[in-house]
Amino acid sequence: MSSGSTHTLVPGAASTSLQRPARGIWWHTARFARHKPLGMAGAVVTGVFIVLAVAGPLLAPFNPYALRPEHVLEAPNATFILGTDDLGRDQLSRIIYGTRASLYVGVLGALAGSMLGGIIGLITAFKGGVADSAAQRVMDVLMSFPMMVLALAMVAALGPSLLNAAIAVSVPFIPRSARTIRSRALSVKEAMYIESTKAIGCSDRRTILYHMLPNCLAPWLVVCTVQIASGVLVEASLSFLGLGVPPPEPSWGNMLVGAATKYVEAAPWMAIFPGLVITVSVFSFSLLGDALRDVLDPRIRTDR
Amino acid sequence: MTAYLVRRLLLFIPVVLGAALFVFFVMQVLPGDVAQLILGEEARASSVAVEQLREHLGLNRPLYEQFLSWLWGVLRLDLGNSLWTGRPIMDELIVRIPVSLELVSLGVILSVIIGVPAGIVSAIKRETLFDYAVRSVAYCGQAIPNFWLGIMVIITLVTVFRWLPPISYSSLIENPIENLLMMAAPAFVLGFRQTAVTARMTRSCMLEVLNEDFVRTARAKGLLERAVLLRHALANALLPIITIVFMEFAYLFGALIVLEHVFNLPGMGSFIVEAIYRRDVPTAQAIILFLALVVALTNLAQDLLYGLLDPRIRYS
Repeated sequence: MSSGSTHTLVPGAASTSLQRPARGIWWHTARFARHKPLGMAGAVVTGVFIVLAVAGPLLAPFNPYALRPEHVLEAPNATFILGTDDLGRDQLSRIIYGTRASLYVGVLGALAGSMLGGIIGLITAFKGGVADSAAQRVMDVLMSFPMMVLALAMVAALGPSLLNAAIAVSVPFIPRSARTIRSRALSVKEAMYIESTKAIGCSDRRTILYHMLPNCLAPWLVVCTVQIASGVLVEASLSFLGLGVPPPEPSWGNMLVGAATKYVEAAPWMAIFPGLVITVSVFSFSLLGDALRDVLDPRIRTDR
Repeated sequence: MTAYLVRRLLLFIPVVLGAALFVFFVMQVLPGDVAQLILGEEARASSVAVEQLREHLGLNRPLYEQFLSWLWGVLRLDLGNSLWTGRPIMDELIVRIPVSLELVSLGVILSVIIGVPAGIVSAIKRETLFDYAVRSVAYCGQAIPNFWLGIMVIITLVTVFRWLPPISYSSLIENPIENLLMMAAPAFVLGFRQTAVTARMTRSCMLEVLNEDFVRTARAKGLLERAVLLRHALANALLPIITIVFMEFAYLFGALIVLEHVFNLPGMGSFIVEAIYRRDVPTAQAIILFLALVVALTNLAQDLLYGLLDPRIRYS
């Protein structure tokens, strides 16, 4: 064996030259954009909506609550780019302000639901036994209601308000994410490294938090993005029925209530634009979600 | 098969009971005193009348007693009286169920006859223009809120075709042509998303199966391509496709709520929305339980169908 070849065989000796360069978040983002251009487009549009939600009051051209009797039902023009509604309020400003309410309910609801469901799934999978089967039966019951029906029942019981709408949206997501995370956690639980945490005497809490949780994070993230898309849709439906975000605060859903359907012939733009925005946002969330699923965890199929 | 059937039925009963329990207690939280709502102005005049009505409606009994008597009623198909009309809820429900059922069935039928072939062709002609078209439409179908699509369809029909939505509902039996004309637009809207989901699922299942060895074998022994695709590939891709069709069936009963509101159809969806607007607790309770029962039955039917189609499942 020549001395020239030994240094590649000795572990560690050549590590400086073979080690992967540290890759920052920008490298990963660029890679994601290259492999999943549609997913990146979804991420960018999602980012735009987040900016609108946060900085809406700075970006909106008009006061969304201001009534203008002289500008009622105006078609889109240079001043009011997306037209005005039956009370003369500027549609564009209302859509921009509505982003906040719609995303608040949709995103908060989906996050809260999938987080609670995730925790339930993780713990019951770890504990097993009676707790697990009891939780499973409760989830079966919750799953037996169509999503909209459950959200409707919750919002009817709680009464219309921004927070209540978010709570109502979150409930149907609990069993759906609990199931996905539970099935993942069950397979993680069998892994060798979980057995070794027991061998070195980790507490249950430590095993769950530091060893099981990080390994269940990828499917959880995927479930989250998928559910945010449905969350925005459920919010829109509830608000459309007048049971979600209470007026006068604008949301994409409640902009379609009443007047929008009453004036379909005279002022179709009242119905067209808010729905278009809902569609674009849901579309971009699901593009992002699908791309994340392919990258993070190609095995799982999330169910709705 | 019998053992499988029994096992599956034993799972069904607790879920339905749990659903009843859940609905009952969620509806109890509904704000506002029912007795006061019925009496309206009168309630402010005399609290004695409110108390009498509460006693009469059995609202002063302990909750568990109210729940058990309600459940007993449900088992005898007596859902109580509507607080709004005072008539038995069952009478109203029987009129409205066929409307929703027809709408959902039309939606499902539409999605199967369009979605499955589109998915198959899209999988065979992978990465072609047709495939891209199917996938884009499928993506849109899942993103567009169905009530908005409904409004858009109405706008188009009204402005382009000068068509006005009919004011009164005509039933399928009495006036089938009128009824189908009326149902066409909402069924299309309802089926759109379902078609998208079915097409996507069919495509991905077919792609998976087409890579299997038995498909290559079937081709190698010189079978007609049609036989390979239909009898070998599709037959094996069928199970997940059926799952998605059934799952969407449950979803559609939820989607119905908003859509019937848009198209002004007298089905279960508009019934539940009216009941909630009017704080008609017994009615809302009854409809929600009924919908849960439908979903539970759908799941049961799905599992039984699985058992029939795939013998392996019966023994697991």
